[in-house]
Amino acid sequence: MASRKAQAVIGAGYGDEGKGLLTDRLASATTDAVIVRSNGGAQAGHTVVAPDGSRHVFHHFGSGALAGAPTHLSAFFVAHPMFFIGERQALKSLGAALAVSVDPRAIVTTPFDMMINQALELSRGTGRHGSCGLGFGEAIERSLRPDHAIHTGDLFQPDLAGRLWRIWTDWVPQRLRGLGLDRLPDDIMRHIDIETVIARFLLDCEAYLDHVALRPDSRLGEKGQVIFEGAQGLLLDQDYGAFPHVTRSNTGLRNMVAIAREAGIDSIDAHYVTRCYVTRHGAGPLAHEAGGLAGIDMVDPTNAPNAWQGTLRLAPLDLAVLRAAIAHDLQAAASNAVAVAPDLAVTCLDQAGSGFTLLDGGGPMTVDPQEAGRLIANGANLPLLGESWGVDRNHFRKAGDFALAG
Amino acid sequence: MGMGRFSTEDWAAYNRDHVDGRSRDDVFAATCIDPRFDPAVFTVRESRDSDINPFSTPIILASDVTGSMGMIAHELMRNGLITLTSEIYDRKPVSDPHIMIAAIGDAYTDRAPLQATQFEADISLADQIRSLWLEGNGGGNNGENYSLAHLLAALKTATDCFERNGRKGYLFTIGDEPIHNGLTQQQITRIFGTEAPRGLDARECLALAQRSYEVFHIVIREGYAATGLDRVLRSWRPLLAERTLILDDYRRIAELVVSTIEINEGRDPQDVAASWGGAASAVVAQAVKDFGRRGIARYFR
Repeated sequence: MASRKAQAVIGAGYGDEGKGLLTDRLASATTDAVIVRSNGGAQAGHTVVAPDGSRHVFHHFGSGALAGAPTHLSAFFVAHPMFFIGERQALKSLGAALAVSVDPRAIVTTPFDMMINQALELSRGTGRHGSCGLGFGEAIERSLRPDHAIHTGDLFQPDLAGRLWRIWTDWVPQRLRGLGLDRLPDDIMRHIDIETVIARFLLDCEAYLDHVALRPDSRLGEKGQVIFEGAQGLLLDQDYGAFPHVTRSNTGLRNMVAIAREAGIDSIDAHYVTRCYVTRHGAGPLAHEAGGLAGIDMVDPTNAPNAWQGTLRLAPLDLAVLRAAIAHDLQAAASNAVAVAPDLAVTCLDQAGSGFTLLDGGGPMTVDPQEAGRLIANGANLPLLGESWGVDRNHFRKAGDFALAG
Repeated sequence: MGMGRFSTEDWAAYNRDHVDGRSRDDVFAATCIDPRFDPAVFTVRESRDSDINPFSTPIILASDVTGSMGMIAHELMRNGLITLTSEIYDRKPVSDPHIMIAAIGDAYTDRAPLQATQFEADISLADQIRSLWLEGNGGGNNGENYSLAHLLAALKTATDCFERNGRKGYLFTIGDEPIHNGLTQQQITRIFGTEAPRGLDARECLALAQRSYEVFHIVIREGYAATGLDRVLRSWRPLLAERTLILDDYRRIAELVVSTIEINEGRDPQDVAASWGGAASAVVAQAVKDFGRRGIARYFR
């Protein structure tokens, strides 16, 4: 019998809000949880620190794996066999849950998508889109062409090698022309030959298929209590963020509601997540951007600077922006078939000193971290789910437990 | 976020046709029989009607996977059967097909003489097919235990199609060898995990299956049957007569199975064969010529 109710974790900003932390916390508190990746792909990076101190940045797996929850990759997920098996090995050594199911419609990223992505980013020089260089958007673009699309279900079909060769000989030149590029980057091409890369990628696909079970989203209810884990954040949503500095997916409720309808789930407890300040990777507008934030001591080992995205940027949290983004998401996904009960989790309060700055349309106000969670939730017009005061799930305080925690 | 760490060094490392730094066993699934497919372990495979599949029809495709089939067994399991199941789901020669795949080994020499997936109504079957273990023994004793598939259908399946609606499902065995004459009491007990009072010969096993399934056998004209077709047919024809189908090109198995079902459901054999187009039409027409003729003859009785 299908489970009728699900939870959801949705980033309310530009990513890095603490979705991994909250997903891990919910998974540990839910019997039979299954984490459903409802958008994005392996370019996402959700950090979880287990209470024993072990740490993992989740890319291709749901962030509940350290808490023992299996992963389901929905039809909206963009799979990346080149990275799947490596992450699985890492999680195996941590004793995490390794079970993964996948909807056969999930798009598959090829090495060629990465090459084109990296060529494009390099050609843009400093004007990057904030892309991760892993071919996420390119995989989606290619998949719009039936001749060149590869979905997970297609990996079982004969002649995968032939398809890959046709992508190389037909699609890559066509796409490069369309982007105004004359070739792939020399410093990639001089290290590889295509025949070897295709042979290697076929092995990665074999390994990927060996470790995933095909399961249509419609049968999700059989697996357990669904927790949707969104990737990126509402301000990077392809329809809401500031184009072109967006990700190529819907980062909020929309996909989750679509999956829920297929799976016969009729209500979602939607947990939006924000840090008590704002971060952003890569290019794109960031209002009130500041070199450093008074009262905030940011620690973030996940976001090491990288050649494709640059460093992490900072700004104070603007409640007006938060409120508008969440209101828009709730309204855009509204459906008679799926009831949504939203609330808000506020993270990184342990990084706030005695007082830090919030904005609400007008001038800055200085707030006490102890009061900040409630203030921010009020500003977003949502009930407060809880606050995080440390890196692991044991430092997440549910709103009702504050009195006990003192 | 942030995983943009695929540098030129990473590309250089990727430019090898092996999965470096890890043992093959670590990366690929284990190579032994998966207990969930072992008929001695599971009690019964069910094909049930549901809101989505109100008129389910069970279809069992049981392929010989032993050594005499050589590379074909691998090709068939990895590619042919997956194409076949996709074709059945797409073309729906019967209402709401529920497909089970069985792998027939050798009851004398294999550790995995019989494996069976669940009945599945969608392509999620594909990864169960991948997980079936191809042992590669068999051969050398001039026959296979195709009766295993017949007993599997008789003893280990429960279907709404038959129990509620009185309709038969479909069972196809696929292989290149003669059929051994049944199973010993010990073999039945060991392989099916149920105490058998006595052994059963091939005709008895078949008759049990035919109570609830339309049973066919497809002779793949490769391997053993490439040179020993007469011996193969001498063992099969007395059992299944014109329901023994000879397939000249094993890559056309999807078309043949779908065509056979459609003809049995009353469609015109020539129309069915022609519907595939190209070389497939000729191969299918040849394979169903005896069964199809009988199919037409029904209308003149």
